Amino acid sequence: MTKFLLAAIFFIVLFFSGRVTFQKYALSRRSILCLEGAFYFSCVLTFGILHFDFSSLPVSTVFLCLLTFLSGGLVAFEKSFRAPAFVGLAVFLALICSVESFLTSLPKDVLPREISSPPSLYSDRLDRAASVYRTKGFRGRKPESESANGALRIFAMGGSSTWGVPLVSPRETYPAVLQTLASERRPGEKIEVYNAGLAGMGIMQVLDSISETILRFNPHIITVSLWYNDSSRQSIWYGIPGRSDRDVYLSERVLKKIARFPILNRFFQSRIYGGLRYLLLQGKTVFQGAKPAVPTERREIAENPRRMSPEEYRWALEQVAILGEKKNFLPVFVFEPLNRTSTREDSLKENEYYLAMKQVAEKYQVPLVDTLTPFHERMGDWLFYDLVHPNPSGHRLMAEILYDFLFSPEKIGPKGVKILREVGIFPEDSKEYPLRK
Amino acid sequence: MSAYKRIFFLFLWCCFFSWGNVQAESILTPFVDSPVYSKKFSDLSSREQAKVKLHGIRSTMLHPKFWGTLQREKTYNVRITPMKRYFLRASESPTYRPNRLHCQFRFAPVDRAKILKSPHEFDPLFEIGFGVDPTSGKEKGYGLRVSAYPLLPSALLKIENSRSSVLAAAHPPSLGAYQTYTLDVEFSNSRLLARLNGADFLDVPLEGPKNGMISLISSWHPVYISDLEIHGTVIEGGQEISRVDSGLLFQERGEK
Repeated sequence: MTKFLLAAIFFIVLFFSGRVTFQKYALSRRSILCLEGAFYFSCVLTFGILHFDFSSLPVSTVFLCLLTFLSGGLVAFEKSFRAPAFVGLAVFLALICSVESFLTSLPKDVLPREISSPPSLYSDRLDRAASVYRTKGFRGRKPESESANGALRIFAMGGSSTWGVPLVSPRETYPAVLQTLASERRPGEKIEVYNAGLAGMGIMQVLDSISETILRFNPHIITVSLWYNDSSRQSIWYGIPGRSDRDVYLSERVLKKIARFPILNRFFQSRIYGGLRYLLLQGKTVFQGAKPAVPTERREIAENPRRMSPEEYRWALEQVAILGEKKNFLPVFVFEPLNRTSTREDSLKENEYYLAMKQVAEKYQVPLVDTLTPFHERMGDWLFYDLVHPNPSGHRLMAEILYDFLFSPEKIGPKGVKILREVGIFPEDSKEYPLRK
Repeated sequence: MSAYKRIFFLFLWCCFFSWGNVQAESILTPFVDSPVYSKKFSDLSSREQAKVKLHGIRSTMLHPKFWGTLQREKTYNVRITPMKRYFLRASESPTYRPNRLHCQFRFAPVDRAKILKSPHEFDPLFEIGFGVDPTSGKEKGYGLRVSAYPLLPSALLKIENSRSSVLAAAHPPSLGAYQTYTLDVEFSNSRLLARLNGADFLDVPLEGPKNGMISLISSWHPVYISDLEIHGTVIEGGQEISRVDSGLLFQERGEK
């Protein structure tokens, strides 16, 4: 958004400064307009070449095209120039069509691959998680139907630590252990726990997946336990280095909508677009030098921004909380613990992601599960396989903590109790679970 | 008897004997002999080297013929090196008795400030388990934690159901992460004596430290074990036979 605003300001300043410059030479109005059009187009082109990464960012191309049309529109706005402008546009379109048909008639191997088959406008980056859930690709237990049928449905969302990397058996993961604990300790109550973790998933993918697919399965509680992937400097999900997940998500969402229009989609598959893109890419290489698509050197990775900055992470958590209020499910935030977990105080002081989660939970009254204290108390035990992936003992501990939290009315809070009561857990007349008022 | 019947009975016979083998299987993952273990490490391709490196504690490769992990702890080993408990295969025999352990090690250099800043990443410690019963749900045993991690001092631990409690603190409690140490542990029937660089490290009266398996596990921070000898006895054919195991990949093959 900032880039867009900057570009808009840049363009407006150029427009007015250019007009003043051309008027100085007292050229005819038509000549001024022609010069202006050419000047702005070249400015936009240069700006585009210098500032955007066309190889991985089709939205920049869309943006560039919009600016180009805008510059053309401004020229055509002048009454005296309108008729010739329309003629010119028609000629231009005819020219484009003929060039396109000429390029299409050429054999495929004559043109570079980037021209003959340009990458599609919208990749399936946003749909990766959703497509897994759509096919009920949860690890371990899978929902029999979309309807909850009176059962309490809990979806555990997170990254690889929730999915259970590197465990071979899904029964060892904390959602599965939580399911076992619930079945053993609360017989007669219908409780379904699903492991909706995916390796590499970050908070943006969680946010997207909840609204796109998870809500179809009528969840009552969604636990969100992740931050480590978001703090990574490697774009392991969207594969676009240098841009945060939120940026990519927002721009790809626009492209997803644009790609629904067949004409636009056809244009972005055309060879003329491929050629234009190819020329821009070559221009960019001339200006900036070739850069590898994905940085591999440690130094390059260290220069990358995080997948989600703490501020962006906070924003995404807020969106999850708001979504919970709108769609009537209970989000439960869970601190994703680390190997040799520090005390809660130290963790909150050192780690901005933990702090963001705590602050959002307080602001939106979202239940927050403190896994840090119990994990810290067992700091001397072997609970992890590496920095962040728990071993079966770690998963077991996580499940115990979650069980104690979710089925304790004082911890889960009034909204949680209300949701649990709707499915027959914590009945009103129960003396076992008196609620504090 | 028709040919089909013969094949059917042959199949049944095979099933019967293979079932018998399954029943007698080890609780540890089987050792699959691979040519990579017979070649010199420097002659291996980078992919083969990576494969070899996966079996072992952090930065110390163990020979899978001598050390194995629990079958129920089977994990995908792609890209990550799990911190797993490795068990000495010889100690799986119920007649195995450890007598003495000799080990030379050093931790990857790290300063205290770095440890305190990222305690999850820089945690220089490893644990030698003995008397371990890894039966699922009833895990128990003892662990000798050797640590240069100020947050978890060196100590003798009692392990029960994956939970450890300190039985006795070692002296000095925290080692430096810069020098090489020599650790000698003596197991007797009623006590455990450990010496570090020749000085007393731990001396604890302990009942039955000999019954059970020997294990080795390290944390995320690399530890380099350059020399390892585990002296023990095993009864074979009614005779007590002494044996010395190492299982360090380089030591087993005489490489440096």
